[in-house]
Amino acid sequence: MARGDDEFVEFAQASSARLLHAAYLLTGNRHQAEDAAQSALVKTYAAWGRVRRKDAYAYARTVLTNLVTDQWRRPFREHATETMPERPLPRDLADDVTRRQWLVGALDALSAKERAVIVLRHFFDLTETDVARELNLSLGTVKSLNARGLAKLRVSVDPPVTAPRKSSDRTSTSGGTRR
Amino acid sequence: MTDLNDFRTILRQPDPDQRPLDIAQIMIKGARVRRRHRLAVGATSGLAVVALLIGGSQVVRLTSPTPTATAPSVQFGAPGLPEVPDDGRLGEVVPTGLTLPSGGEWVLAMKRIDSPDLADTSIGITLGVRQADGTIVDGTTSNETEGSDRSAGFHAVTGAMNVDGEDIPPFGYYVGTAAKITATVKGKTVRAGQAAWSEDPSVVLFWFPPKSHLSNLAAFDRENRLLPTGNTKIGVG
Repeated sequence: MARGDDEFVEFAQASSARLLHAAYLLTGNRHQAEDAAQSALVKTYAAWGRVRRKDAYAYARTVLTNLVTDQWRRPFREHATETMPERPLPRDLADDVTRRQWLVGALDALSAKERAVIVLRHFFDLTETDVARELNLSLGTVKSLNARGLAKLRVSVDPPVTAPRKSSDRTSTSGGTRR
Repeated sequence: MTDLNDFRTILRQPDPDQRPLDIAQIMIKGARVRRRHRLAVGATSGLAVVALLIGGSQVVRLTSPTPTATAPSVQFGAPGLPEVPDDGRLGEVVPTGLTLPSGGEWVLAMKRIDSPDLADTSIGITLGVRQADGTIVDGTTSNETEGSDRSAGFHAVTGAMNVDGEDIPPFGYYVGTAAKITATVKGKTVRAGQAAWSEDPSVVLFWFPPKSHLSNLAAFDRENRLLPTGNTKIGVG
């Protein structure tokens, strides 16, 4: 096995679970998630010679995002509702199974773009600017989608009193899409 | 309401039902993709050809014709850089008229493919950037991996993608008397830019503007009759 292959195996072992989990959050479907995560790693391996010295994880994440957002342009897609069905987060936060079930149901109620913004922003912890670049949307649109998505999820962005909010975490409803 | 920190914790909670991916299988498939998107192939020179990347450090300069038979219109090497042997381009470089926000123009060229794994493929198409000083930086090369590279219809179609911050225009080639090539983009029929290959006019290089996500590729002759489609599968990445 070539040295680059060893490096890729190490990279894939370290990142595949996280990419697969992200794919599941983005798609809500295990089979689609496995296909998307595998395809992202296939393309990353194909480009390994030029991405191994850069940020290979960012490359794989971008490919994964592109694969998922490519579904937006297909004729059959789900249509999210504007209002979130009443399904509050269970009080028993120790119940991991219940929390996962709540999460999947809650994400399913988002539009595809809201969902992608939420996952990139809060799972991958990208800045809103990076999310905008990744999804090829304007910054204002990302802020709007993030705010709307969190509102539908019934997630409060109000910080604890002891943790003042950073200016970059503020949300806005302005802006339009560049697509 | 759920606190944002709690929500982030739930998002990142490991999924015990998640099955591990088969990394060996990923590498086998990745090797196939790598062959399809060959960046460069050494052939007659017997030397390894440097893979040329957009934004990379290796460039080739288009100047006077080179005396080699396989790459008649290009000469290699740029001031201050190591001599690059043969980039495998065949025929003239085609300007697309599409400019990059960062400067330069997207260009297309056919490229020699010489791989023992690809008995029916001898040509591919490569997308590059002609910079302001005339140098050309090669980017992605796409070629057929199954079937003949000269059968009637579309070949090596590469879709819109973003690489290192640059939006790559969709491109490919068509074999046949295509007077017009179209695709559906955002529900509208869009006509491709196109140019006949200098080495064989029955090969038509085509391209669409960046961010054009294509479907329903179609080619028409001078009488506007639909031509065979061939391989319209769109590769990305």
